[in-house]
Amino acid sequence: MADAQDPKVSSAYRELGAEEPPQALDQAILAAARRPRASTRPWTQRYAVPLGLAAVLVLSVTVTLRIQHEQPGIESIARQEPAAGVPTAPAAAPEAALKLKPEFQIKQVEPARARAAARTERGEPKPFPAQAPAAPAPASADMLASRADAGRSADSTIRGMSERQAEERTTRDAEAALRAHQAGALLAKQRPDRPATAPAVAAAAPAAAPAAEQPAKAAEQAQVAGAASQAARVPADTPEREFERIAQLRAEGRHDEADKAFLEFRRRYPDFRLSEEMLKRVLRR
Amino acid sequence: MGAGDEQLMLAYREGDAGAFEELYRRHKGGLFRFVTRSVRDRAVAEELYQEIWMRAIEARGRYEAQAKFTTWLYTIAHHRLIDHWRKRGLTLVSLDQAQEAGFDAPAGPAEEPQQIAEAKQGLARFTRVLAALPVAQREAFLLHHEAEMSVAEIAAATGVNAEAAKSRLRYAVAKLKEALD
Repeated sequence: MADAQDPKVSSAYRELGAEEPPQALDQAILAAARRPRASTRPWTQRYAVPLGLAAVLVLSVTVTLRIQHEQPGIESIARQEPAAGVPTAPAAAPEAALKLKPEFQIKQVEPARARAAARTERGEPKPFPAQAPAAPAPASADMLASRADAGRSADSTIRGMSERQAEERTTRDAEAALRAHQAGALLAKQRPDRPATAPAVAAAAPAAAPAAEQPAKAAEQAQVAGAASQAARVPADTPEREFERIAQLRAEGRHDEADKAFLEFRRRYPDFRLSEEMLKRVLRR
Repeated sequence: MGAGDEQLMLAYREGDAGAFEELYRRHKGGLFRFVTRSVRDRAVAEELYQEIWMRAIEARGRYEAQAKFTTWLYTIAHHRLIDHWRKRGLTLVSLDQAQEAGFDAPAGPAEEPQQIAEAKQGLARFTRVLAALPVAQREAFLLHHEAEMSVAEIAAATGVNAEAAKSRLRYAVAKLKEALD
């Protein structure tokens, strides 16, 4: 370093003077230094929060749609639960019934009324509504309207589910009625002294919910003779069944009831064509 | 004694503009002379000087107090001058070899009539010899006298090994001494 330093050279260099930058240059540099620093964070850090929120949102929507797709009935089940403070009677009334065809509603309401009438005649207390989930209980107009409004906001999937459930319920009722009819016929065969029980069973049975319990319930109801005559007046749900019921009344010798039923049948089904053979079965000889 | 350069720069990195003002006050003269005695054109020299400080301001977020602030600042200056010379068609090799021709000779009073008259004296000759030094040797000499750098620090700032830096400095001093004799 001795060669790199020479006092004489250093002294001569200092004599060249100590120039300073112009004041304008100083001001420009100091002004630039006082300006706030531009964000030097990488874009991944700057957009981390909004990107994270967007990802959570997309994930939530995706999971929700997937759950809805894999378990489509989950919304319908939740919707059928009674709301707090609302009377429990309408709880079993499916909201889909509001949109059902009229014949579905008749089928569901009338068997329920027939069963209620039968219970009243037997002196039994009214069943707790929860025990008859298939029977649509009467609901107030306001409640029905509010439920209808809520139903309108549901998507088509939910609507399709409700209709499908109603159809399944109807099919279940029809099968229960058939089983009850068979059980009643069997019972009538075993107890010929009570010929009126079978039609009563056929009419009252469709209101029962669980199909597996229908034969037992039908047998129980078949023992009530007083209810049978009233239940016999309840028309069947199809012209064919109604015709068979009238034919059975005629065959059992209950001609007055058969005559009334046949008049009612002609009134309700004026276009139903009856062959000569069929007329022989239902007309008084 | 006030805070060291490194502490001031760290303070400025954290947002203390006053720390930068102190740093600037300490180093503005040396850096200005380093640039103006390296580049002939005064306007270009002032522009380069301003750009060097701007680069230091922009790079404050990346500053780490691992080396002396002076070394860091003059490294920025060295790179900026290299860019300037490259634009003018000079290579790093020529920076070492170029001499006498006086390209980019430092601006100064040497060309003024009064200074020409004074050139008869030793100081004027010294100035001319300094301007005629090869770029790399002149840079080493200026770093040693304006930034008060050691050979090792000159080597670090200019990106060469210590032997090369020492050799450049020794040749520069020898030529200037010869001009004074």
